Amino acid sequence: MSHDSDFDGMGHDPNGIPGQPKTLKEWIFTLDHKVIGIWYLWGAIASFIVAGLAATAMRLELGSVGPTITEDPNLYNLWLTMHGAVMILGFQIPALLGFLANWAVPIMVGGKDMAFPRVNAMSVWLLWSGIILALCNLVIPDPWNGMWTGYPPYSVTDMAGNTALYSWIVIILGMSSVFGAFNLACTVVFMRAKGMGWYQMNMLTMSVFTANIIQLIFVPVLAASVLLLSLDKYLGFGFYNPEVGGDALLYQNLFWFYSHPAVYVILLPFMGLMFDVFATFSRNQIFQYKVAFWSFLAFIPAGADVWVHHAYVAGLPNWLRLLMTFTTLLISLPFGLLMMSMIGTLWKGSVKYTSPMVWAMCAFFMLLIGGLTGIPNALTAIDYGISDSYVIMSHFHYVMAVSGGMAIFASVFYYMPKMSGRMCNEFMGKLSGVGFFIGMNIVMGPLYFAGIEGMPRRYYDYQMFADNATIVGAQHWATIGIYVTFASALLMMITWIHAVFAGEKATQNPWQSESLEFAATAVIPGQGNFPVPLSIHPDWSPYGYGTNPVDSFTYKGK
Amino acid sequence: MSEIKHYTAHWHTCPYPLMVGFGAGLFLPWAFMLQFNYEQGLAAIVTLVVGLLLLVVGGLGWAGQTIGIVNDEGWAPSAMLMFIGTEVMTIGGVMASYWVLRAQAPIWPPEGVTPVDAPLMMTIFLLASSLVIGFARKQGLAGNAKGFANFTIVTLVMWVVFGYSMITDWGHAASLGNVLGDDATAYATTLYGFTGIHFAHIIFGAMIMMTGIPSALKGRYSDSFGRAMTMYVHFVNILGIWVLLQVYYW
Repeated sequence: MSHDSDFDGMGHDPNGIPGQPKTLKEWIFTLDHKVIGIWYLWGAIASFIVAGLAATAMRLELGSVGPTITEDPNLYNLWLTMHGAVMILGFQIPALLGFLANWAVPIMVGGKDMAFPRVNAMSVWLLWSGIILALCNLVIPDPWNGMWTGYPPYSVTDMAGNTALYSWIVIILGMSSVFGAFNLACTVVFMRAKGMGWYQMNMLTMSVFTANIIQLIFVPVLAASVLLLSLDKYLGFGFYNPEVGGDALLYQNLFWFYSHPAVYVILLPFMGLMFDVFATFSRNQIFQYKVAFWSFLAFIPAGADVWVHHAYVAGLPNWLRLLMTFTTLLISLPFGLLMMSMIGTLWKGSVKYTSPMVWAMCAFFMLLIGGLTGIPNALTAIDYGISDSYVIMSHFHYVMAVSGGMAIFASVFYYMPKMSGRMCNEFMGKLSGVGFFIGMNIVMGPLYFAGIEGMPRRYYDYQMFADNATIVGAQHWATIGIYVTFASALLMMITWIHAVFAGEKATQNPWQSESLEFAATAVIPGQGNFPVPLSIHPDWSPYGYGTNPVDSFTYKGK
Repeated sequence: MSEIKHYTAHWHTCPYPLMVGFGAGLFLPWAFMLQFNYEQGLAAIVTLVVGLLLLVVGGLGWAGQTIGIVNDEGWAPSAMLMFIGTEVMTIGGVMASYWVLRAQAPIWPPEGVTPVDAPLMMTIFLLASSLVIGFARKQGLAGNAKGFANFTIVTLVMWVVFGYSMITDWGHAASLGNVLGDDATAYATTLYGFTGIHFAHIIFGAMIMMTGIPSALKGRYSDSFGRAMTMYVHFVNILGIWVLLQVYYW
């Protein structure tokens, strides 16, 4: 459905492309949410490249028994640390809550920008500071090698390297997240277009809003926990030192109090994005919209009381293990409802397999496998046998890391026409998506079996399992898989670069979406999004395919 | 269809968020690392100075461009409320640590520790600054920006006095044997940890106040900023009472 007639004479780019700044000053000192969103995207992609190369190096090292590409276990530890920390803190969270939240959400709610543009700009530079700090770890003497978890007592010893670097990376990225979170929350609450009710918002908006509330509540606890690490190591405090009455397990509790909800900070926005992509390309409304809406919000209380399952093996009282088993299983409820809602959205839809849809569908299948293999992990008796094994590693790569990454890449394909004004090559886009999906399944699928055989995660070598054909075979296949994944990721980036410089010119609404960022043709180039404030018809929906009223949008100035 | 007007793109720019972001996010962490991890004192000082300069120039420039000029529709107090919520969680993390350490100690204070006296009078003095900042906002609402500046300066001075008394209290506590390092105790850890967190908030709150003063002296006042700043001052003062009750009287 076209809404062109609503915007006649309002003054806009005929293709509804927001455009990009022309000068370096406009790029660097920008206050515009779309440009800041692109800065987040660049930061996320740079982080993905660094963390991805670290993963590739680790996988090559594990390709055979004994040293393969390095004889230095500390170097392997460095790759492992960089992979985990940078992939989560530098790639996934900034891509979802930085890029997507910035680029899409203000336009989706019909706002002119974020509520606090300067705070928004500061948030992105804090993120880049955190990324630069993380990259410093590759070149500084005494690099940090205590993994992304930073558990004491190891992390407060000199063997762990530069503990302060770890603390500061987490604190600075946390500050960036917190400033971004209240900015986005204010944007959604206060800047929605006139007439836009809460139930008229996109799933992406709702999911990002929920994730940011989780950030506001839980990030500070993580910041406090890593601050105390540095206080212990450098200033002689004893919070985690049992010799002076401290408690090393205290750190694990504080750390996972945030870092488990952090899974939902990643999970929810990429599920929100998948909802939007599924609805657009199946030409369907969201199945049980209100159930999905409240399921997102349910993650706030439900995600707050599950962190202890990361410490099942750490000597907890039985009553606490039992309680946390139930609370962890409870999370399956809103998650399952969201999955059902997604399936219902696709059901009997007029599905069109475009490149964003292929990436999102692949992400969905990864999520499904990861979700199903997560349920048994909640049970203490089972977790005892597989804790810290490859089973856990494969599970979280399926449920969060790979599925989240693929959804993020789907979003780049989805918004490329609006960001650059050009289309990605569909064949290359789909091929890279399918290749990435196959490659990651070859990597992570067999490793489940290695884990069941007892292969612990994080090990530099597996000489002690050299006689175990399952473990050796799984490692072998996983290493083959990384070649396929690497080639697919490379193809994906070539596709993006090709699109930006030589892609076919995009039309105003190439996906025929009803959502504002595509359907509102009056998107103006430069700052401000809309020439005058937008009003929304009470019956309009971002998913109202075939049902939206003709006069969905009006302007106060008209 | 009527003729489509073509807009010339205009992009707003401001260098100050970048200065504040890199000052706080890059230079201050490196100053800390150079001092404590690499023991490069001179390099640490130089980096610290650069970081603080970026923060001060960036913060003042930012405030100068916005307070009393940019209409933020009055959303700043809501944002401040959320920010204070995150602060409560940060303090909650430290407080949980304090409770765990106390719960695990057979007796409190641990055997051999000489506890320090509660800074009751100074905390009451700190609380009085809530009244002063209230007067500041009242002046601002009455259209007297310079009155707002003056009362804010008085608040700031009261906080500096309180901060100084806190530092002298730490010196006194150390003289009683409550030290960190090899001879650290759970008592000293929580005493300095908890009061240190409060001290950090005093510094941050003082920085917020300082950013608003130059604009106010030029006659510019925004109640969105004034209200948000006042909320933060009250929060830090309430935190002072909490620290007093938890660390000294429990």
